[in-house]
Amino acid sequence: MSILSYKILNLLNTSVNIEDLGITLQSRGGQDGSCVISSDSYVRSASLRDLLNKRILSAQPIYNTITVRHVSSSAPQVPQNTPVSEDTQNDSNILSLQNEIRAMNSRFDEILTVLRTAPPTASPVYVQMPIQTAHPGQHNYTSSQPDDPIFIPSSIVPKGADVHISSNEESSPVEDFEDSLAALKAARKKKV
Amino acid sequence: MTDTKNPPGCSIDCGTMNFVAARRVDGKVVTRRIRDAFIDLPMEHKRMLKLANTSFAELDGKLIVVGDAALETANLLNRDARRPMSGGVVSAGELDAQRIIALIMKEVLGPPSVPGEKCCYSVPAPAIDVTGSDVTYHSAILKKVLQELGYSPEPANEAVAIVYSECAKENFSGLAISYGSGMTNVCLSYNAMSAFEFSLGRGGDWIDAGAARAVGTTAAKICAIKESEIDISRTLGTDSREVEAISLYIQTLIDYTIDRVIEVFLRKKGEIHISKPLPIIVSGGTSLAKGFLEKFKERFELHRSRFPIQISEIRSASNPMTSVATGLLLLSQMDDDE
Repeated sequence: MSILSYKILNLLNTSVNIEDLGITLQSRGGQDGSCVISSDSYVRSASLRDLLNKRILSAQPIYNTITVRHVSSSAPQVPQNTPVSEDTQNDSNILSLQNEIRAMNSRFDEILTVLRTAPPTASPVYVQMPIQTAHPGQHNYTSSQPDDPIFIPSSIVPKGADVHISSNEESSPVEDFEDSLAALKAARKKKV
Repeated sequence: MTDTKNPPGCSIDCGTMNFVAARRVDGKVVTRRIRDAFIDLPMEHKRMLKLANTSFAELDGKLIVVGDAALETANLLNRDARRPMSGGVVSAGELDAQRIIALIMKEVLGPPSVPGEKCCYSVPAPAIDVTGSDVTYHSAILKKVLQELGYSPEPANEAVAIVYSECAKENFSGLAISYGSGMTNVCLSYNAMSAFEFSLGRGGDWIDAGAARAVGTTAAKICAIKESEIDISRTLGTDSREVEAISLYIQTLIDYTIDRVIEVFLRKKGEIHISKPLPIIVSGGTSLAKGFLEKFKERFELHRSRFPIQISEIRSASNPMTSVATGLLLLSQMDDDE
């Protein structure tokens, strides 16, 4: 006969929190005034030990001979002639797991409460901004809104750069150009 | 007294592949071109570059080869030359690229002939097929550079400039299509008034990238083939795979352009009434590929029946590389009230 779990009972008329297990037991005699924890949790919990020493809580070992049954109304009916094995170890494990989950949920709620009540400046907030990259050979159009300011550097032309750039030069007679210029001036005058 | 041989006013066509400046000098229209590309090299190459008379700039302790030499050097070193502009516009936040652009503009324009000389510079229209296309930043950067260089800048649409330089005999009426490297610009002008302007986010770079993907090579190699003596009007199947791919992509771009022009016309139905047949002017560096005009004419015939206006002829710009700069130079010579 080995101890697989412990039933923990609250002896006070107020709720008690087993801090390092994240379990809160309601007042004595209530629906959640007791819980079952694994022997492992029992051994490693300093808070529990402290509360037991102060006689705030009491612990009852659960041996593997204890059968815990959960009968669901929707569970299929087992035929009478079918042998039923009483796997107490599994039942105890399930209970322990359920308590562990409860403890984790309780802990999670605590964390959420802390986060919700923390002032906004308590921790830095990083907001992932969309990153715009320019790829050579691809179009790079600004996605700015119409009222966004356009940043133009105050100075673009490099000063004092040692530059030796040659260009390809062509020239054409100016007569055709002058004819076009006169025609354009006339066309624009007519338009006005 | 005004110098009639060298009247003030100049222009600059700011393209993804080339910067072309124009001004009147001693009774001639002089254009200067610098390739819009650069590559950085370690400082120890400076002496070699000087000896080879290669264009370079020393910027913040870095050696930068600029212009055609950048492409040649990149090919030599099996690297890609960098481009300060992409998709027809200056890239936002690319401050190094903006400084290179400023250097190129300074060199290609030279100093103003008079303080605050008027300089008309080209801007594309927003692309109708690119979400969020915006040319405001691009135009603002170019304006700032020109102001720093001592000019009084004035922006003008690049396709409109083509109509000004090429359609005097039609009283500045025509449909100009500028096939650039980063994009394709379109303008319909009637009696020197623009009826519509738009651009498409496809151009020479789109052809290079697509053809390169199709045959498993690099865009740089496709670009080099495209700029060589290939004839894209020849029947498919008679050339190399690269030429076939280039031809297919050019044909697709032409069809795409004509379809978009028809769409824009239909959208503006009721707003545009043109009674006389107009010419189509095909320009831009991408249109320099041999056989491009023939291919355009061939494709246009397939669309002619549903084209909303009568077309009198389809012709190339007298010089597709300098046509925009020349048109802008005309604008720079106009008085402000004209």
